[in-house]
Amino acid sequence: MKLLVGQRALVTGGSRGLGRAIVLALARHGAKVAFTYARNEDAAERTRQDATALGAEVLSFRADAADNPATEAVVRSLESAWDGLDVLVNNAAITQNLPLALLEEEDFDRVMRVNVKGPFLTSRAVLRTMIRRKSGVIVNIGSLAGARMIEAPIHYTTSKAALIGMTEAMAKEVARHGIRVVCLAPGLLEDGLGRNLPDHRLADYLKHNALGRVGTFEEVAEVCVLLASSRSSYISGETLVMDGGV
Amino acid sequence: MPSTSDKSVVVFGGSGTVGRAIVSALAADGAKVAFTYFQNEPAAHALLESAPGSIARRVDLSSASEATRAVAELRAELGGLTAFVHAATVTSAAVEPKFESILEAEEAALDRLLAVNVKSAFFACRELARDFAGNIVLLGSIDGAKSVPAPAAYAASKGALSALARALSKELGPRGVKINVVAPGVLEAGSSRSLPDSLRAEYLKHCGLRRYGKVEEIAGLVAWLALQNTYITGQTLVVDGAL
Amino acid sequence: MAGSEGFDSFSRHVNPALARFLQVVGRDYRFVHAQDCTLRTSLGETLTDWVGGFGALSFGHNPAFAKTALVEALQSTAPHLYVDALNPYAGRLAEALVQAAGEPFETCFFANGGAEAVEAALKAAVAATGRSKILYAEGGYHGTTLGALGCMAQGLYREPFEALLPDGFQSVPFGDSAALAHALAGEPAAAFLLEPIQMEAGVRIASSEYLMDVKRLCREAGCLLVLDEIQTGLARTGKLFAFQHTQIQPDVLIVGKALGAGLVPISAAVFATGIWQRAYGSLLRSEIHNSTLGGNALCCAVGLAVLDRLASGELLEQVRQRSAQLSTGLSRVLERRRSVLRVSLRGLLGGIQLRPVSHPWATWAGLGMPELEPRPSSAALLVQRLAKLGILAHLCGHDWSVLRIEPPLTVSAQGCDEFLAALSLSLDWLEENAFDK
Repeated sequence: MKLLVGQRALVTGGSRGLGRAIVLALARHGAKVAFTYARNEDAAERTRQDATALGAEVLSFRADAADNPATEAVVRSLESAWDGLDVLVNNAAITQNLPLALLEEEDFDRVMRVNVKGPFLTSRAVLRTMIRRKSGVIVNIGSLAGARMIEAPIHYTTSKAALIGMTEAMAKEVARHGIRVVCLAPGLLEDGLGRNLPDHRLADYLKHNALGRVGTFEEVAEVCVLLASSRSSYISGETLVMDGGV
Repeated sequence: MPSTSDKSVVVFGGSGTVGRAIVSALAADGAKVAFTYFQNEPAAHALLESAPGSIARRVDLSSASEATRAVAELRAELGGLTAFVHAATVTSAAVEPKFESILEAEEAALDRLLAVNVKSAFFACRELARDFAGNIVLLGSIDGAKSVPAPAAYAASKGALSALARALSKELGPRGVKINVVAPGVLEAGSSRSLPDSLRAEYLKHCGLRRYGKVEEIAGLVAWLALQNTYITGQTLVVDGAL
Repeated sequence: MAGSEGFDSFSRHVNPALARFLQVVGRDYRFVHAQDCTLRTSLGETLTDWVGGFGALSFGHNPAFAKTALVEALQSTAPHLYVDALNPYAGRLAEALVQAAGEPFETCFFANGGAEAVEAALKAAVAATGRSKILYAEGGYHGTTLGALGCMAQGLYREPFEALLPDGFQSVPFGDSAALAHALAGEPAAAFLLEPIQMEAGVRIASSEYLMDVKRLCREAGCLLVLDEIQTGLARTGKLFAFQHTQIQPDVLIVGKALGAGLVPISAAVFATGIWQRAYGSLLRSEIHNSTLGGNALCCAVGLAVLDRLASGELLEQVRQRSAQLSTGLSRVLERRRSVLRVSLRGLLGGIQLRPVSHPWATWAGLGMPELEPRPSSAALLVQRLAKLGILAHLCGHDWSVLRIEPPLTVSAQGCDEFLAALSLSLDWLEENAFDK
């Protein structure tokens, strides 16, 4: 079943990891996919090729999502190439495993800039065109850490919790134009940002995880597709946690 | 559409407004469906025709033992079970169904509401807990998930489903069961009929998308959670157009 | 070959726990370029190397002179391996080594790593003396292979293998000649093994007096004195070998690490006159200890280039100057600091010992790694702060309260100043955040 046939999608941070899985899932579901990446040309090329091999039209842009002019330029290019966008997935994010003693202002600022300001700026740029057309969906990739109380770096958690508020307020404001905004909050994933957990923390997490395992990128990507598709046409402002039952 | 797949789903309350849409959506996604009905026999027959290969059975879901037996027998008739959906609902604890205040609630009607809305789900899950791995989807409501004016009994029964899903996700997770609640806002059809006009107007005013939901918009999600979901569990998914 | 695959493959197929730790502390650098004292990562960050390959990078990264020698040897069509044959490369290097080490050294055995050379020395001592007991100074680090492990300090590196370790090895406290005398009075020992500076134990320095006592006691007992100069040798302490700061010579001198210029694996056990003869002088015994790749042409070519580089004394003079500069600078930076217990420096080998942290959020438990308690966290925090300022540093393996000082010997005066400045800022942070007023 292809849920996004003919849709035009943009994924930030799409060259590797979860972003790459989302790009490929969007392609599999029949969408045209564009993605941004920060610097890894090799990974971007591989993802471009793999998505193209799935039959999708693919565009990629080297751009820092928290860089306003660069983001505006990407959106303008897509306006021109595809006449607009139907789906935005704000996925690009960073984390740092820092205990409070070592967590300084510059670390806090860096994480907030990439994880919160980036999605805001990208959303605003994309919404300018989505609102004109009175349709579109934005999926913000959050985290279990920002939705429930678990052990996680303070600045990362703050940034992911911020996305929830942003999702709700943005959903309220743009719903009148027919646009939906949702947040997808995965728990720990195979190879994800949380993979650098010390052994005992991972063991604890699994012990209290109902399904007894971390999620895969593909599983999150499929739910991202679901939220972007017309099956979710009445969901907006909501944060969907997918964590295997923590 | 003929269903020749190996996916089979039992749906409680398949004859209801939302239930019907769910049965259709499941069939469209390739599942074989067995559903229950109680009062609305014509709806059940119409559904059997629109989803050939599906099975209908009259079950009084206010009886825990009937609910339990229905799960066991329908599962056997289907030759296996991929998912279970609970869409049966009683909306009012007043003698004459309405959007009642707590003062208008009566014990016998309350008991019936709780029996259908909660107990039948509980006992269905209990039956499945013996030997089942797959998805369970319970139909809740924003009345039980968000801070909105609502009849207390109905709200409590829907809230109970969220706690049930959370607890059972923990207990049954190790066996491969994922259980979630879909909590719709006000829909075009169905139980929202009893909503007073003033509340309808308020809902539309505060609903971001400025419209009621369609039953199809709920059914498509339920079908996905029943047939495609592999990692979401213990969650209550609110579907209310940004209320 | 600097693709990300290799780095990720390391995490999967070589050392997952180390990779995870480095990721957790944000020091999972992907080094793609190195020259002299500078490293550059795939993200374009540059760091200055004050770890120096634990002493192997005395000539810095990618030293031109050593690479030239290596390339020249590589292009030769002469054999590179001489098994069971006269080996001219090993011959020339052995000659150069015994000359550099001075009287009474005569014979060299070449191996491929420090632990191998240590084990060669111990076996030769047993074969030469006919005795079956080995004494070693407690607190040392001579390698992690089973034989050398028998002389490892008590603790993390040794404990899981205790049952396998050779029976005839006995430790005596480092620096305690009376204890050595007592041990020698018992069953006769073939050898006494120690390092002139126990680096991993937190830079414990053997005094000249102690070494003179040790020499005398060993000679009187007919026990061979084996000095492990894998870290202290080859100009590191300001003399070509650390023993040259004293009036004594060991019976066996072990050299490694920098002998390969950080490019190739080569180590050597250098024996005083007569020892190799006594051990392996007969035809039947002449090959019973061997190494297929030990003494291979490429490694010996680099070794020769290294000794040649050191022969002029120019680098030695540089080491002394940088050492003096560091010494003065360290006194200034560390003066009256409540976080610092002591500082040691011999040439460009040293350490700064820190007090335990007193703020709860700076302990391992407070930092979210309770499994590392009750070890000190102070030097690790200092390493973290230095990394933020572009200095790659490390702590001592057996004593986590000590930050090691072991830069390439080619470090510049400016490099030393930068280190001192970074050290000062880092200690400021530590004292503000990890220590009570």
